[in-house]
Amino acid sequence: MSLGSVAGFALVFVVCAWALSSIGGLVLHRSRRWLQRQGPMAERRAAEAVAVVPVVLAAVAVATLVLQSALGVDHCEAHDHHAHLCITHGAAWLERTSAMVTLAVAGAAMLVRLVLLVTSFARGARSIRELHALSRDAGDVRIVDSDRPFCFVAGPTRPAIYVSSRVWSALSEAERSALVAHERAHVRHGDLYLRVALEVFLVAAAPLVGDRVRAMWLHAGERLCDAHAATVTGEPANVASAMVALCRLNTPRPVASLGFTPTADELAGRVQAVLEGRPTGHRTAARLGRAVLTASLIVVGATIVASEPLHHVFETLLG
Amino acid sequence: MRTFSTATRVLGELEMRVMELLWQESPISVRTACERLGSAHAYTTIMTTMDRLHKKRLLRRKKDGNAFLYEPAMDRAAYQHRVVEAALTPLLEQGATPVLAAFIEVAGNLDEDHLAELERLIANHRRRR
Repeated sequence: MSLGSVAGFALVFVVCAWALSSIGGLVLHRSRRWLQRQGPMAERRAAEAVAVVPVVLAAVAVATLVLQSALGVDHCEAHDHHAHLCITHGAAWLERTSAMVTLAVAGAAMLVRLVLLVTSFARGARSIRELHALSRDAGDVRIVDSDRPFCFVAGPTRPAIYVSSRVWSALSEAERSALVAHERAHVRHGDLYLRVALEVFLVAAAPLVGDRVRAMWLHAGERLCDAHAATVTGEPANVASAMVALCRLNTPRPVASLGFTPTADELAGRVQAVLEGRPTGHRTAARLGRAVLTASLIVVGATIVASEPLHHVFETLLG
Repeated sequence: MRTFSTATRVLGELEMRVMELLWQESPISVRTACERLGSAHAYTTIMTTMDRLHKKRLLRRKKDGNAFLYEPAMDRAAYQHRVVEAALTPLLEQGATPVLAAFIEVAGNLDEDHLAELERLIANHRRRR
């Protein structure tokens, strides 16, 4: 396969992924209130769908085009007014300025995101190893001697709950149990691994969509863990009071970009949701998952069936 | 120039033993440190380790005849504080958060009235139950 062919197929992937994720981001934005009413699991499933489906469908589109070309059913002979999406006659893509500029911009954006992601993982993993060595085991949690207010679960292979000594000493026994139950729910839900997968898919998301998807996913995840902690401890008020107690430990140097930044409304929303025992939205999430899967399969089927006209559409529009 | 974070990274086992020794007894020479740490480590190993700690700005040294006398540049509590801060900073401030899931972020925009209102809500909920 020539470099031009690779560029042509890469362009199709980028354009499909960005267009679909833009549509997904728009749908997510328009349906956010409905999703909030359904519950955090529904919000989470919707956010995951917007992250994953565009990338999968874009990959299917490219795979279909490559396969079509490999099987010799492309139509290079019939059209010579645009660049060809085939594995042998793709050189013309390199001469299409607009196509190459689009590919360069999108490729640079994805590359930058990927580098930032890998760097943040490497830096975070090293910090966690250091924190593990510096913290002391206190049964359910690892206490870090620090006057910063924080509590989080981390560690890809052996997840551990890290709590600052300031938080641990400020919370009551009941609040500590609620906090531990919340963090264990993150481990139980596989949030650490899911976050990695989500971030990888979001590398290919359209600009601005990734932030929205991530924020919704994180916020919903926290509320799911709140609900889980309330169920496990049997006392929702302890979960709510632990949240408020942590916010009371505010310092002149606020902790930035941890999970999500709760505004007063968001914190109030979380507290009210856990106190009222609002639905988690598992049923809607299951229905949503089935609907997205069915729709995706239909699109994949349509892409394969209509690969010939689709092939020409991509060549005409992009080449 | 070494950065703050590299200078305060968690120390290796021998480095930590040397620091522990110097927090108990200082200033001391490499030879004295060797004697205190026992025969498990060669003189050159201890010398290299102490030199490395000096380069990390964890030890200070002054000339005493042909040898150097080493002493800690900070006490144990200050070291512990710095090294914890160095480990926390990438996680809490520099965007290395994909590796963790936080209970709640402590933000600076929550005022007393809001928190008091939420506490009243929680208290009411407890009373109703």
